[in-house]
Amino acid sequence: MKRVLLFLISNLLLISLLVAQEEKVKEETAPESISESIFDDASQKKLHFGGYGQIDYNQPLDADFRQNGKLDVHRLILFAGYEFNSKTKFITEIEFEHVSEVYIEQAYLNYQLLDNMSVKGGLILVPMGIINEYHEPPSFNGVERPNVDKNIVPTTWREIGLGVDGRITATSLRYQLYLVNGFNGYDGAGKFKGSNGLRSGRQKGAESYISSPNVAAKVDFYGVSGLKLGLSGYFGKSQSTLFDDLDKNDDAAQATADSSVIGISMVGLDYRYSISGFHTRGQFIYGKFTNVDEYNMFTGQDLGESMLGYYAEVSYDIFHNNSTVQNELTPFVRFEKYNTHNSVVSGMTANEAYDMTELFVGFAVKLDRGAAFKVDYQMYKNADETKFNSMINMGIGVWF
Amino acid sequence: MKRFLILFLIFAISNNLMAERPQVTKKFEKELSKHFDLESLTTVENKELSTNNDLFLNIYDGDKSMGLVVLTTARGRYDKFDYMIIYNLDCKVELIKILVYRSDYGAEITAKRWLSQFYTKKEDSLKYGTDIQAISGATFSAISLTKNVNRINRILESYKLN
Repeated sequence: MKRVLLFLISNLLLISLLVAQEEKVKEETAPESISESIFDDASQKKLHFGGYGQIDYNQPLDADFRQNGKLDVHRLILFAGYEFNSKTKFITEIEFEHVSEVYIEQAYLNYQLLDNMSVKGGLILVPMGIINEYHEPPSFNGVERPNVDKNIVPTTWREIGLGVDGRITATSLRYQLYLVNGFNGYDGAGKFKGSNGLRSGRQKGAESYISSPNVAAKVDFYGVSGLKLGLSGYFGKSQSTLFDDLDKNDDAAQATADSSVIGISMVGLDYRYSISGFHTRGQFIYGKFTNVDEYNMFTGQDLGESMLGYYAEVSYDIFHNNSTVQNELTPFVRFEKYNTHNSVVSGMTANEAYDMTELFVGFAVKLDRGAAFKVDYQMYKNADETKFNSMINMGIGVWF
Repeated sequence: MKRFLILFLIFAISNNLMAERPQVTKKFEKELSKHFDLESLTTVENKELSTNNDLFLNIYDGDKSMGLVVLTTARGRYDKFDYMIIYNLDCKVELIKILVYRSDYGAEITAKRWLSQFYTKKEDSLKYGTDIQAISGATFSAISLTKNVNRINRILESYKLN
């Protein structure tokens, strides 16, 4: 059944591709776009470079104990895009994390199949929440990315897949739909745990394996001036190496493999609104898992049955109405709440240490649209603690 | 789940296939007639102003001069986009229409309401963020459009239409 469906999908895409090509042949005499017929394209560059970087200083504060601070070139990303022709381009982001870890954040081929739709294939960002897709440091407040995104989404979440990215202009909607490989749930040891949910299961395109495809989808609405709304969904089963070389007739082995897998359903809701220098954004992510009882018993882990995270943030650009000052000074406040043990299987007690509440107060000085100096004061505690812990964060964020 | 996938793909592709795919030149002519509410308009290239990147055309209804239209290209974050600006005889922007928008990101700049912010006759350049509302997630294309509209406004400032 799966094979038939996959065959049908690829045929549909092929047919639409052929139709598009046919139309192109008919239009040989007419220009495909005004710029191609009228303007001289010879000087257009095909290779573009860019990047972003985040350098942090995190200093925990404690009344009774001395605390060392941490300084880190947290991320340095080099972006390259190559335009093969007006419809085909390759996008890649090479990432250096903490100076010595090399990762690829994106590496995909983008083909503009139709006027309002592209097909993407390769290592792509899973569309869940705001930060996973839009994470250039000067574009968000706070030195570090929100912890809801780090622990619940979990950002930066990117997997290898194939899908479509398009828009319906009449309704100001953008849609994305991808088939991707899922999280690595078990590869000899269980990867999911209570402390960080699915985060350790991200495969990141580094010799990823697939035992069942997962679906990621997002719809963005931008029809109201200043407002952006997003709705994301992610569904599928986690992957397990126990399915490799599995005898289809061996029921016992099949049952064992099944107990190393969880079913994942995630939904995300996010908004961003700006008016007259005043900005606000918020996000809500909920993940529900099935087969967690069996998974925990099999792997010895303490994964929760559902995770929940949300935050709300407001900020204001003080110099918004002042045309003599070029820079931006933006104080902000953000409230976050997230819990990887939002609910647990019966018989297990939720670990209160995973139930976090955080408050950030800080500001960003934008020296330019792509260069920011940020400072924030972070208060955080889990449900077990009575007093908030504090940390001061300072950092530089650039985007070019 | 899989059924939903199939249905969605069929919907998305057929939605785009079924919809008219007007050629860009036809689209441009359609926008001109629609804006002036006249069927038969002629355009003549203004060779004095035209460059490699900007095509300036004088618009005529018979012998009567109606205004000027510019066809030009600007660059967003990853891709170029082609657009047109219609100026009236006072060199005031009356319409901006994005004709071809290629990227997955930043399509918000094609919105009529957001573009209407440019339909002013301001003495100085329009400033992104204050005069023109900032769009989160479309920063590159929005700034690029603002810069380019300012640039063409300046070119026309020193040129009077008769």
